[in-house]
Amino acid sequence: MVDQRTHFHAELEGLEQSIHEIGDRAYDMIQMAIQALIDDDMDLARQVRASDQVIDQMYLDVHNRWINLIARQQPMGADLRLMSVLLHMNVTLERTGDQAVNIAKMAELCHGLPGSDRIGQQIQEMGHLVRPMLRTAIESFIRRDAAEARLLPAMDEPVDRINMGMYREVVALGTDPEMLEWATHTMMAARALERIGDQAVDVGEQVVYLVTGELLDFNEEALDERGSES
Amino acid sequence: MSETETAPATTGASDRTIEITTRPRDVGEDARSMHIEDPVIEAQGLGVHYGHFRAVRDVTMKFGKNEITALIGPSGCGKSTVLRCFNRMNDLIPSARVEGNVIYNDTDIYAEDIDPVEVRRKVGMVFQKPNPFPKSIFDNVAWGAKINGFKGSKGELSNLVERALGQAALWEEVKDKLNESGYSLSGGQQQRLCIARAIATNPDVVLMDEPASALDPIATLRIEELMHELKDDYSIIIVTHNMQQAARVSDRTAFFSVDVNDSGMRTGRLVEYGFTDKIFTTPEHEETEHYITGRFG
Amino acid sequence: MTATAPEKTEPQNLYPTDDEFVALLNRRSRKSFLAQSGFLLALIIAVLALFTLLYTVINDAFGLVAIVNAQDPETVVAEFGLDPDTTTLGDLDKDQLVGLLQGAVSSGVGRRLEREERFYPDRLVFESQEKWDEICASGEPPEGCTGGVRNQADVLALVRERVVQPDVIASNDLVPSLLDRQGFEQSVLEAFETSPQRFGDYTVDQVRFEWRAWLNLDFIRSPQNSTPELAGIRTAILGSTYLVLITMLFAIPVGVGAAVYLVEFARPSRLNEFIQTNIYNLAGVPSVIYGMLGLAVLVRTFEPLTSGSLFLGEGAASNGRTILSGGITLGLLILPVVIISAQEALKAVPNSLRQAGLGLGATRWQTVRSQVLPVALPGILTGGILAVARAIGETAPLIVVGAAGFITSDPTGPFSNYTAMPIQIFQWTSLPQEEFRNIAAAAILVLLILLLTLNATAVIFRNRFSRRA
Repeated sequence: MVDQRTHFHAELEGLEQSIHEIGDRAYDMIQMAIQALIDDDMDLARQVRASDQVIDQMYLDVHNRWINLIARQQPMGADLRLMSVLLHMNVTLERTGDQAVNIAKMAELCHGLPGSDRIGQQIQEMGHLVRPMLRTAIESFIRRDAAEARLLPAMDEPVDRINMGMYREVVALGTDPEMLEWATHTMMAARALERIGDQAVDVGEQVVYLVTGELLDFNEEALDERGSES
Repeated sequence: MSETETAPATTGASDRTIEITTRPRDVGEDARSMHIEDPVIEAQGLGVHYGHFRAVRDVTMKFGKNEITALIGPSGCGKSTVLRCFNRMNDLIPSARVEGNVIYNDTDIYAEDIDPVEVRRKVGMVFQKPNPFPKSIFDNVAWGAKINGFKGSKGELSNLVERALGQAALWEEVKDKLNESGYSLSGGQQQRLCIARAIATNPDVVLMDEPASALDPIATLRIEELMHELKDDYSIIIVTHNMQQAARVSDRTAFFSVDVNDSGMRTGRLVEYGFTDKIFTTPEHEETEHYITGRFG
Repeated sequence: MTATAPEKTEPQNLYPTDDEFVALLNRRSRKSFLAQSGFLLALIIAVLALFTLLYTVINDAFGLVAIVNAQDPETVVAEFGLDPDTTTLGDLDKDQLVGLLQGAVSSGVGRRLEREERFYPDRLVFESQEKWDEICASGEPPEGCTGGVRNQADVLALVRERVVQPDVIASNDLVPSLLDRQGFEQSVLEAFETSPQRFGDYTVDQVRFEWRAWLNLDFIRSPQNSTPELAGIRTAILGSTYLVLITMLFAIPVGVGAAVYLVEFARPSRLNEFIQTNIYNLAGVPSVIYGMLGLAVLVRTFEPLTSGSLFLGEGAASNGRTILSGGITLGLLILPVVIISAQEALKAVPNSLRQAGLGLGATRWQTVRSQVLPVALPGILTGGILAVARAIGETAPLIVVGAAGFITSDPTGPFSNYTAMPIQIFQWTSLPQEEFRNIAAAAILVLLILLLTLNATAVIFRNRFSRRA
């Protein structure tokens, strides 16, 4: 078999490579943002913001290259599906970066405020859950592994649970206004982490579409499964 | 695909032996024969030989009424050969031999007692290169009616010509020069004249063999636009080398591929047949995927 | 990088250096020039040959003659009181010419002429009415009883023959006549002095030197004659015309029909291939062999048909050596060429046109008649006309199937005996008298003009139709 469109396929591969890089960068930013929040490290928070600017730049670059390929190469079949997935992932991963920045912003707002170890631990815990999700999403995309991508909704469930429980934790903290301010900001950060988990699930849906041609909504699927269990 | 028809298990069983392409994901008959209610034409185990050379084998598919069906595939895959089976144009090639059945109107058009001339009136054809007759524009359209025993008066013949030219979106451009030669028109206009000529005999099916491959992009788009309009009155089967064209105009697409045996003989076969949007986004068969993404050879 | 990595070598430049290249280019140009010169030479040879042919023919067909008249036309004209400078014999009316004849020929000759063809429809000149009725009532009446009447031109020819009796005693070619008129006159006069016995009763005073175009209106209008001064080519032109008509009527429908069948209808088979090959072979068969075929089949086997006795009964020609036999023989001769050229014309019609016709539900014949034949027609006609032009020039088969070498009566229909232009030319050139060479040249010119006209027609056909398509 001979590839009759080597030029196009090289460009397409380059585009995918850029998406991998955006994903890797977003992955690193999540850890940095959490660390900034937990350790009250303003330097790290600044690094997160700087890194997001790089992502925004890459996002624009990918978008331009993507439009060019569509206009000039008229991809079909698997190429067309990949193009669709790349566009979707570009947006999703850029937002993942934005969510990391949101966490970093919360870290800046929390600067100098007294915090709760228990809540800090839960944030840490969420980070430990969300980052592997993003890793899984990107790895399954690289390997075109639909089965792996299908694991993501299940991985997202504990993240949702911790996020839900966060409110109760904050109420339990008592009435110290400074502590409450810190807790409110931290709750926002938890919310951002929860969003990142959803975005990883989104990427997983795209991977399944890329491989099988079927576009599923994992959340609904999960609901269905839950419905059938009960 | 829930609405596919399972073909009898016996078909093609013996043919498997000469297939040499790798097929990691065998989709079986499902991807090849679509279930179509009340098809206008149906091919059953259609194969064509040229002398000792087998050009196409084992094509089984149905064509929908008032639909545009595109046949695509690499050179030598036999898509044009298959198209020419549907109005028995292959009869003109002395060494050609057709096996299997082509059902049109509940009749096998390859049955002993069928005159190919009869078939061709109901199954018209438009060719790759515009080929108007060296006659006036009017006569180009009227000739088919005349030879087929059109019973109407002169005025009715004029009406027929006007209607056919109108359907072919050519009337406005030629109404003042019906007596000029068909050759005085541009290539795109000539091809529309040929379409008008084909539909003037009131066929059920119009076969188009790469109808736009000799035309410039604008003329091509006009022909494609025209096909969409003609769909209401005719069933259209089009062979095209241009995948984008197949994607733009057709309702269903059939992908043909070619096998090369040890002695270099090339035999075409139907690989996949399905709705056009499916074929061009998520084909079932890997060969189709490779073809439409440009990984073939 | 490991030590085993293949050494990367610059590909050696195997092209010549720039200087070498210039030298090479010069050599190549020289060769090209040589080839071109060779082809030009070939063209020059061909043109020279053609030019020589024309030169010889024209040279022979015109020139000075030394002529002796029994009675000078000027004298005759003067006797009628007309000015000999402005009037010629041809200006006299029929009555005057008949009068001249009456005065010049014996009554016996006069009666014979009248029996061949009458001078007037209502009265007799040489014969008495009673005698005329008697011979016309006899078992074998002469042609004069039933045939037509001599017109003024016919009588004029008789007057030239019987009254003026011109006798060309010497003729000269065109170019020497122009360059050295004196020399020719001198030589004739000297011949009179040295050997007067060659000229019989003629005296030097009777000799007149005149310019003579052997190709003139009289030559075209007059029938064959044993005297070169009087001989004409009318019989041969008419014979050739009839021949060509019959040839065309036979060869073009049959040839085109066969070609249409072979190209449009026949499926490839051993038999058809065999037929095709043999058509090509037949086109190369020497024409004399077609003559043999015509003789054996048309003249002999089908004699009742070709002699016309089947249709005309007793009044028919005595044997099968008729225009019909000759025409069909020539038709058979050009048939393969007509078939091949018609086939080529049909094959040149694009196949897309046939497919378009058949695709509309037309039968093969409808497609061929309405779409293919109209496009192929100019090609078919061009080929046909060129083949017919070839038939006009054919001599050998006509000799074999029995065209007459000497015949004075015009052909009247397909069952007449006949002669044709090339036969006439052939016959004249084989006669000893020098003047026959002159009229042969004149006849060749007529033939050439006829052929060129036909070829021009073919060219016009082709251009006219190909522009329309």
